[in-house]
Amino acid sequence: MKKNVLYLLIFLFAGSSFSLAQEKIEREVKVKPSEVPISARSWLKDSFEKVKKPKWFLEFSQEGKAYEAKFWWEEHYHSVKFDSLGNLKDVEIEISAEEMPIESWANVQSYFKGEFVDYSVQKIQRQIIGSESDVEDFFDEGEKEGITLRYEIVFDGKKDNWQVWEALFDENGSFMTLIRVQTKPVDHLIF
Amino acid sequence: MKRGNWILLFCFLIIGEAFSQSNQTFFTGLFPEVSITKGISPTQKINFKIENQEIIFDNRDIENPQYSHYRTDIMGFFDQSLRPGISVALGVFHRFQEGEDGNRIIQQLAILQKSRNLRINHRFRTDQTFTRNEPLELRFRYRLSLEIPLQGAELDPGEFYFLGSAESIFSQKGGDFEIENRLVTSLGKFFSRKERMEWGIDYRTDGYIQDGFRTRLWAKISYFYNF
Repeated sequence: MKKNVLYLLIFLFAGSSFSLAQEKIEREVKVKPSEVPISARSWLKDSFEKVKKPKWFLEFSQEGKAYEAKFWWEEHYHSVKFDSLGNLKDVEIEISAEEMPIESWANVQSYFKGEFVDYSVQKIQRQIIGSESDVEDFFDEGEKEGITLRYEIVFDGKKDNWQVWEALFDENGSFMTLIRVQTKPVDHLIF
Repeated sequence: MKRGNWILLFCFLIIGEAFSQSNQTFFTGLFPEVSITKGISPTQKINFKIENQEIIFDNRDIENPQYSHYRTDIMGFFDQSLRPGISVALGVFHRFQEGEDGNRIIQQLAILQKSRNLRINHRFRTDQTFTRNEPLELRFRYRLSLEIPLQGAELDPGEFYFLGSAESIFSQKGGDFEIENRLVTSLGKFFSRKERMEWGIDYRTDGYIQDGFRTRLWAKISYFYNF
């Protein structure tokens, strides 16, 4: 009977009574549009008029707070990031390798082949960076003045071992930065 | 499919299964488990897991509500990552069960697929169970698991998630073939990269072919520690 009571107590109070340590790392939570600075919502509405219901997220990181709108538009997944005051930071669009300029993709591949024994691309995002008006013109009229394009690529790469990496390349596919991506534990899924 | 639909599908499957059979052996109880995983190199880890099942109701003896120990399993695995998302593991297992203590050797292949906001894992296992005075049991198992974050687009520390899994087990023992199915739905909390907990329902059906049909329903609580 004592064991019985013990198990019931574990079940009932597990959520509140376990004082488990929590790490402070990046975190994002879904927020209502009404919680997002009006300047961010206005810019998004002006630049992507036909997007009906973007999902809004609030991201916390060492760099502070940021708002992010995520949505599908013209068959591509878009992420638009704003700072805590609602000023545009960048727009990221998921694309395939075939959608990169041929020469840029060739440079990226050449980098991968030179630095890694083997590789496999998981995700490519085109970053569009510029002032709010320039980025709006880029989407409305295809105007590239004042726009910086970059490619952020997440990939499995093998040096000594396989790892997940995130590399940043400029518009021409020239290498800029490389960081190792920490993958989440999978022990609860595989054991 | 939207994440809400995935959750509804799993709940529907479990509830539907539970009410679809009537004259059968049924017992239910508590199923706590603890899993400890230690990374020993960038691509290798070892896991130790203990599972305990305690019966609190058995329909073969409804006059005497009971609280009895059913079984305790301990197991250890060595896991080798082949590349991100793919690993193979070898495991050993011992079961403490009245009159049915047994040992098992396990071989495993796990393949993880990631989409924008969910993780899907395919786990393939073969195992061989050695029980005193019984024939060798050979099994093939496939488990599909789905992890869906409930707060935000990605699962971050401090957030809750839904975990659903479905597993089919095909066994052969002394020339007899048998099937077992397991469905699990859990609410999980990802405390940190080191710790997570899950509270769920584990529903198992077996005895499709040989013995009488049997169902087991467990209230499951799981703790995972990773270092």
